[in-house]
Amino acid sequence: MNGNATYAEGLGRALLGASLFALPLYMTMEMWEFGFAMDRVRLAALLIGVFPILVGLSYFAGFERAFGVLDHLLDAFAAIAVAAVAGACVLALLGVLAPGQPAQEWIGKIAVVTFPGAIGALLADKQMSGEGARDIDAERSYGGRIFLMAVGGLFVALNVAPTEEMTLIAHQISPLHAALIAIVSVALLHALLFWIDLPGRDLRRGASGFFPILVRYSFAGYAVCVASSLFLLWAFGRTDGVGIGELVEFTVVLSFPAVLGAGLAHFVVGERRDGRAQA
Amino acid sequence: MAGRKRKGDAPLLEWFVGGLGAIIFAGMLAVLLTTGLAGEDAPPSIHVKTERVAAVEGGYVLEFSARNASDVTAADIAVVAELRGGGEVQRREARFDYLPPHSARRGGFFFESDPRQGALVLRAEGYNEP
Repeated sequence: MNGNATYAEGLGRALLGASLFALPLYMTMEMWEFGFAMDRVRLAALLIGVFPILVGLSYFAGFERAFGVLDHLLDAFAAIAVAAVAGACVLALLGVLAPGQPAQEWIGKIAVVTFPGAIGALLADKQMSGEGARDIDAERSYGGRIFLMAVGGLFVALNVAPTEEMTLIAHQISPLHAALIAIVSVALLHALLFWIDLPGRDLRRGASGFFPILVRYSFAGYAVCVASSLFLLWAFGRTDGVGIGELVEFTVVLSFPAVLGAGLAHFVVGERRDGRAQA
Repeated sequence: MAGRKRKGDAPLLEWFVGGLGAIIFAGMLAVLLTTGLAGEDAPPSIHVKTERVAAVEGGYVLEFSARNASDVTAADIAVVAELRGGGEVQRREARFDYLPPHSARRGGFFFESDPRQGALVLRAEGYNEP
């Protein structure tokens, strides 16, 4: 099969992935509202911030090749193209994009959903390529693992971050309750990484004792979840005019779903194949 | 995207799709940043006008449109209509969740008497910042 035909097959998978992974967000009212109500500069910051994540995902997910940076840049741009097209089609199909709305509104709505869609496109192209995941996580560097945790956390947090419930939950709980959520989150992440028998567990664990892996992976993973959650909260304008205590509660609540994504990211993305990066 | 079996030059299609993505990416950023940095100091400016009046069962409906002529989004907009005639005032209120920049939303008011007969005032009464 020639290169173009193979590539077109990959695009098909990516289109499917963008639709599948981002569909819950396409059908979330708050996402449409962010399309026109969200601060334009923050929306642009969201897109700019996600771009290196796309390039990194292309690199760390690895597509059985050792090509250059240019290839990963092209992959990231292709994922954006696929996600923008999928987003525009689905939103138009659902009547969210309607004739008579100004171009500004269309562009904003498509831009908001392009970013989860592009992550979905890259993940799906990897997951559905039918090549099977082999010894997952085996050759990935420490930095690569933390990066994937951040992407996984960001992706899952993104699916719940737009909803009102995140702030409502934070209003309903006491600070002690929030502290409990934070402890459970770290324990959950540690369990996903080291107790539950998922591929790559032994390799991550290595010969280290409990405390080294707790700090190097579980707390580091929780930290990137907190950072991802804070970034999303800021981008969606949830941090404006909020006191520090409440902001911590928001972040803890949003980091809870994020740890699931962080803990399972290596499993979803699979191993890198060109075997270059070593810790 | 993936699936290529051999190392080598990227296929033409990859350049095409990648290029398209780059254009979309740059275009979105350009639009967002130019509008975002163009100063959002101006408050929402909302104009309400009558679109049409129709007789319905039990009275009349006045359809109106509310247009936001500013660069900022207004939320929870209250639109009121006051119809004076025959010594009485009929006051009606409708609300919109959102009014995005430079866009219009439509709504309607029900009146017992024909709103074309009498002095009608339509205006936006308030909004929230989203």
